[in-house]
Amino acid sequence: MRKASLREVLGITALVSSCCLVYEMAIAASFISLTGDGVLWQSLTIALYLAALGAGTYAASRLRSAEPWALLFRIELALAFVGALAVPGILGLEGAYRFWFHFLRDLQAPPSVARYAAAVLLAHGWTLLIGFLSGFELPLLIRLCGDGQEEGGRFNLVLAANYAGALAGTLTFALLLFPWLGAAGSGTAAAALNLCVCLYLRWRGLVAPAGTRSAGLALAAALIALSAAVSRPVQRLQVLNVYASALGLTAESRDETLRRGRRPPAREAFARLRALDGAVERIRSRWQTIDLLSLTEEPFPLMARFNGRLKEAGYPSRLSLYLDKRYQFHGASEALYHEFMAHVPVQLFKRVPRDVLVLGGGDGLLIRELLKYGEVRRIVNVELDLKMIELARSHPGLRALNEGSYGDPRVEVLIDDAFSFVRGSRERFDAVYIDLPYPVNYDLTRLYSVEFYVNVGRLLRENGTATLDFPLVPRDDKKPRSAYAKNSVLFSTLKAAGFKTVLPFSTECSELIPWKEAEGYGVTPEDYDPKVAKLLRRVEAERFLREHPGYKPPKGDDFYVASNDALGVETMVTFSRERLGPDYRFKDRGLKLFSLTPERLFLLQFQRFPHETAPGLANSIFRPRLFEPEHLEDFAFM
Amino acid sequence: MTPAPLFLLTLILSFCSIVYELLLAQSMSATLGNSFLRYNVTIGLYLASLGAGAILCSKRGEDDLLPLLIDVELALTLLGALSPLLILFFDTAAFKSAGGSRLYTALVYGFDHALIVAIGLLSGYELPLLMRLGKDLSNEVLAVDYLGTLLGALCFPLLLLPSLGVLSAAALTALLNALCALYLLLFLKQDLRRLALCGLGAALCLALIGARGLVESAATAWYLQR
Repeated sequence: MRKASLREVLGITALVSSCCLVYEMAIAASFISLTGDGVLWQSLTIALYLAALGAGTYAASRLRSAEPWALLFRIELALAFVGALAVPGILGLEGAYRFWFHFLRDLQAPPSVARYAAAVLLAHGWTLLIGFLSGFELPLLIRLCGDGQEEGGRFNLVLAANYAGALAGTLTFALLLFPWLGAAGSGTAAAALNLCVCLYLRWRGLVAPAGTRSAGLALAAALIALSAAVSRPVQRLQVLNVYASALGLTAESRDETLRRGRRPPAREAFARLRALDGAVERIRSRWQTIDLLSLTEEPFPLMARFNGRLKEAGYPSRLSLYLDKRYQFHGASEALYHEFMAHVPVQLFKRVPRDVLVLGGGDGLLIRELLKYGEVRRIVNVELDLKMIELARSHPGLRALNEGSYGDPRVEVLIDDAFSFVRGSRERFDAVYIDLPYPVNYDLTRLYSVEFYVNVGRLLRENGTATLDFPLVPRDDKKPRSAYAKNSVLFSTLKAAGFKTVLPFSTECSELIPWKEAEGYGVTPEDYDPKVAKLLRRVEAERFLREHPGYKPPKGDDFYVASNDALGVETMVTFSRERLGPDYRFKDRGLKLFSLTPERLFLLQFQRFPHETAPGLANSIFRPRLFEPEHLEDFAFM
Repeated sequence: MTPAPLFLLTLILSFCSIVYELLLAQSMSATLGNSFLRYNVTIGLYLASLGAGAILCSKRGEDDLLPLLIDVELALTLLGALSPLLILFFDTAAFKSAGGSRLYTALVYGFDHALIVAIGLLSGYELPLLMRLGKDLSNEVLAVDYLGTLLGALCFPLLLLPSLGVLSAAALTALLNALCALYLLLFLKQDLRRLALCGLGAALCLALIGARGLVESAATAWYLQR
């Protein structure tokens, strides 16, 4: 075979080395999309990849093949095969496991760490394989240019080309491939490039033509095409799998299992999954994936008592929003959440703000509530994702929910990162509302740091309040002390940021309603003798009144303790730099409210959120604290 | 040098090297956000400058391997311990003078990425020097180098970052580097200047770790300046 020119060797070196990096990053990105946590998975993928790379380099140094170009051809072809399959393989594996987990597995089996670890390693098998194969490339290329000489200018040039290619691969992936093609597409693109290298070797006479080689090339090309074609359906199925339980599907199949005593057959379960396709609308923005779900389940009838909007005709009560697969709100309960968040601080401190800042909350629902006050003259909404705002303005379901709040002239939208905005802004507001994603990874804990909150405090006028949506843990005697750790982190952080008043509250409502009314909402009578049942209810009601002194029950003598905890509860914190005493008496301002009633406001004072405050617990950007442990359970392999 | 200490040294040095870079990536994520982009670019730049460092190293002769390695370790100790603080200081200074403008972004990007390249270049010297010191064991040294990187990339998110935070983790890693340099100094006769520098470096790291609370609150207070 002819000898390759130096330029050819350098070009190939740079190209294969950039593919090598693109694979590593595409795999890391696909793990991040599955689990939502960046730092852990990127570090782990880098670590495993480099280890495999090292193993490959070591193995290559031990191999003294007579035909280095032929070996390179085989390596590149193998990479084309493996690379094309890796990312769809990981997504497909996760999807298949999740499908089995939701529909077909034994309901009683507890999650298993061993199974999780095994599955992670299986998925990372791709990483190790690709790393190992890539490890062969550099030693081979060095041998191919220098006639075995270790030192000298050529050796250094090949090294330089290798590392320049690595850098080019990183930048191309982060800035071009991933935004345009996603993880699966980037992997396929890299595989196609590896295939091109094979074709080049074959065409330019660096390897001998052979039947097996041509067959291999054809097969690899077919596989890459297949991978490109299959990646979208695989991703779609993965999305449907993720939302299967939210859409009520797995509850259906579990009921069936319990009722019929057998699981639905796999084919039937799969057909039901496919049928959900119309129920999930996915929009990809630069910053996140936005999923709008049309839920199939009707909300509990009792919910209408807590959310008066459910009684309105045409209210999109089944629309649900998820950002990066994390639940944001549900039409059946959002009024509760947004009314409490917007109006409770105003009621507690008896001050209606004139200038309001809303950080996040690009769905427009919080703004809808704030616009109800005539005194509000300006609402500045700082939102990172332009797409979210556009959706809030144009999507029919969202527009119906937010009542066109972005069309109001008092609303000013700023597209910016909340952290840099609060750092740089010199404006002052009477109220700040913080509706940002929960701090589930290191990227987001930035927005819950002392540095962030001090800057928020600087934006408040005197006696101004800030209100934050945060998953606090309410008091539950069954929970150990360690369960309240994240309460302690938040309270410590707010205290360290200089806030003297810190008041938590939640949308959990329990109240006494006449039994006749409860029956009207479909609450089923207990299986006791009616007189015994009435006695039990009276005992419950008397206990409720003892625990909530000052609460005035409605008229009557047969009460039911109704609660909304079945539909999920949100917790919030309102805080201020000054010492402000809360007043739990409702003041009617003539607003139309569907969820916040005088009784519910009154009952907030009995809510408890155990916590400790210590300076060492505060979250800072230099000492990031994950409020919750890594969300391993979000990953299906559990 | 006997094999076992050489392997341990290689392991620790490559461990430290990747941890420095991941700490830089995390510091940049803390001040600039978008950790996905930060980590990707940091790894790419790190690998590229590692290679460049290896090339620069190959131009040096055979005589002064050990003193060169010690100098590299001293520089890394200093740079590694201080790099998160340097990022913080520079970010605050740039923000005070240029606000949130494009100039601020350009300055901060330039400085931060220069730090990544600097640490990468210095780290690039380590492996070739260690391989030359190891003579026939160079393949094994390479393997241990990769192992150290693997350990570093695992320890960072699971151990170092959650329990120490960015500033103290940097100081601890730099302390490890200083201890390696001190060990290497045993093989050099009577080099008081380097010994003093090494001791100073180790003392600095110990001080940063010991006064952790103070350092962190000072860092926050500094960052919050307007």
